[in-house]
Amino acid sequence: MLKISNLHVTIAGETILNGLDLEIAAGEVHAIMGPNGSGKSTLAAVLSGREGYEVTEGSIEYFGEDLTALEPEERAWRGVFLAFQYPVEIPGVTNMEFLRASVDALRAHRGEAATSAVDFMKLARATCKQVGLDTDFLKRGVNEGFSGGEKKRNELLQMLLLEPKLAVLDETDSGLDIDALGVVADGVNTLRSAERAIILITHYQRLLNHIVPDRVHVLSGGRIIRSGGKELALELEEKGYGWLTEAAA
Amino acid sequence: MTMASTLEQRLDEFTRRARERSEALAADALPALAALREAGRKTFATTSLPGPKTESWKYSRVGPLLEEGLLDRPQAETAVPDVTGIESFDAGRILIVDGVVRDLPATADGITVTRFAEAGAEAAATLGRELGQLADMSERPFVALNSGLIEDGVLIHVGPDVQADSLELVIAQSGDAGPHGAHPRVLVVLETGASLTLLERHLGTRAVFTNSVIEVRIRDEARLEHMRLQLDAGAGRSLTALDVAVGRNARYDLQQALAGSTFRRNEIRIRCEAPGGEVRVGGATLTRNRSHLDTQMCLEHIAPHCSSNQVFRALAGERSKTVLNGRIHIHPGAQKTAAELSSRNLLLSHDAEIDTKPELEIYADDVKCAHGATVGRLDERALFYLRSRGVAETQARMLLSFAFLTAVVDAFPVAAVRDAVRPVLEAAFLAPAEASRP
Ligand SMILES: Nc1ncnc2c1ncn2[C@@H]1O[C@H](COP(=O)(O)OP(=O)(O)O)[C@@H](O)[C@H]1O
Ligand SMILES: [Mg+2]
Repeated sequence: MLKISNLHVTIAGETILNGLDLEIAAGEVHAIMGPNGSGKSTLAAVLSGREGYEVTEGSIEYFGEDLTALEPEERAWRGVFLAFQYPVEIPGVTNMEFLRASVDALRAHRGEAATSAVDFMKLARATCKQVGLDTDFLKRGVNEGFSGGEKKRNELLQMLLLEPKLAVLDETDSGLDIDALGVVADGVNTLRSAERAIILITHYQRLLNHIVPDRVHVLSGGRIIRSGGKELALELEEKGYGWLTEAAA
Repeated sequence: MTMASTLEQRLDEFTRRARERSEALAADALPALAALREAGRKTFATTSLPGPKTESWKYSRVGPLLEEGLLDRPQAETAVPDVTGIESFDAGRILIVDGVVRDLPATADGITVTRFAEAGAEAAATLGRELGQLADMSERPFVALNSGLIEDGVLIHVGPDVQADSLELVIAQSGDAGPHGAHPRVLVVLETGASLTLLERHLGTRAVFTNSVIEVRIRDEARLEHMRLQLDAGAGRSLTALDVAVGRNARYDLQQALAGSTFRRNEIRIRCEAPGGEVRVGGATLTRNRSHLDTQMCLEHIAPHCSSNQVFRALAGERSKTVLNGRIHIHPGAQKTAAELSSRNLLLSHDAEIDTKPELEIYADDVKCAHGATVGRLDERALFYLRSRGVAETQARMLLSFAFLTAVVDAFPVAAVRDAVRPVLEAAFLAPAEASRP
């Protein structure tokens, strides 16, 4: 589904990703771990098409298509979804209005009719329940005044409504209590299927107790320095990153 | 006029022709009209037209108002344009086309809506007392011009304690008129305890000069809900003076949705003349292409214990220009005044211009006065967030821009009007930019 080869990315002339390779097949869940500042969010941003990131070398193929040539919304139409590490507050646009605009945009690009207001309301309410958000959050401005945990739940809500093919979760588990962590894990596990791929960017192995990954990668210095099975996460939990980053240096 | 004429020559020519037109008017007017005409002519002759150095005209140049033909009289008989109103806003319609009163609603108990020219004894007395009292001509040559050229107008009079049905005032252009200058004049008087909802709509996209003067007297305990829609862009040159006096415990609510045109300027002066007056003003504006929109707001707090709250939200695209001068003048003795003005503005393009200036003059010490003005751009992070969820860029820009306007559009007191305004603004926002001339 996704094939990243020798990816080099600069921000304002500074190299952040430095020859990253990653291949993910449909049905797989990959965890990406790594120290702060190693380039995890940069990878997520590049996948979702954020401005200001320049791909200077390498390629990203998504279903055989050059992903980097697409606008952010075109990527979303093709099933790419990023759960933001820092979701944006948009006062004045209600969460409901936002969710419906997104869902209808994606439906339109699949050749499906827009949802009826009533049907969508039902769906949105049910999904709110699933992620543990009060339905009042639908009436509020997008992420406006939400707590950190509520913002993360709102990201999850969007993910469940948009049913992406490739979901990238950037530290969705950070700052969450155990209950919220369970909600994130349940959400991801619900989504997990043979047609979908999921990239979990995380600092903590605790999320991986609930979502068992097919592969675990360690990102450091802008490249993947180690890949392994789920036991790699446990090893990292025990030993930290030092032994790997030193070895890679 | 030759091409080589300087601004000064054009101003002189304009002045001369205005005098000629005023002097040529029939002499059989009502005494109130004759007196106003005389005063207007005199003031106009002695007031110079705003030039590049006139401070209040710093951002609005008179050039577009001085073009060939814009002082000509409109043709007497032109077709009445389609002025279809807002569905489910049920209101008696006052229609002024090319400055000529063409239609008035049926009369109702306690409410007089009449042409000046057809005023009965009581209406004539009201005119004699009120006409020209609020629209100060000094330093305002175009108000003087309107007065000097006055032939007719509309009086809306709501008697004491009468709760009037809604009225709609439509100031339109006919479809077949050539260049001309129209000078609509309206006087609204709400007697003690009266109330009225007035929707004012300006229509027309042709290159004619519409120089309106609207005077509003709100007596004690009375309340006026005033909604103003100027949503036609295009070649119109529109100048509107609105002068309002708010009495004791009276309330004035003005909500506006405005688009720019070749030239559009609104001069609004609101005077809180007695204690307990409450004023609320809103303005949602969208300028695009090369359009121009200038709002000159002046709130005069003369009496103590009054409050005013003004909220302006502007979007400016392409090479358009939006001006808001928000003056709050708190006179000595106007203690316990609470005056607020917020002006927030979004530039939608790098070539757009927004000039917003607070102007506070406070001569009383026990007052609350807040004034804020910001000019910014759309939040790129929010834009990306929306796009990453599949919302196409144009729609994402619109969602964010209208999130910004929402507070003002929502303040329209009549749901039918509020609901009609939003799609018009949205369509104007989404319309492709005009090809810009080199
Ligand atoms: N907008 C930016 N401008 C300059 N440097 C940036 C920017 N965003 C991230 N970086 C830098 O890129 C590196 C990787 O950041 P990031 O991808 O956020 O790391 P991670 O998510 O792994 O913590 C860091 O050194 C960070 O300072
Ligand atoms: Mg990060």
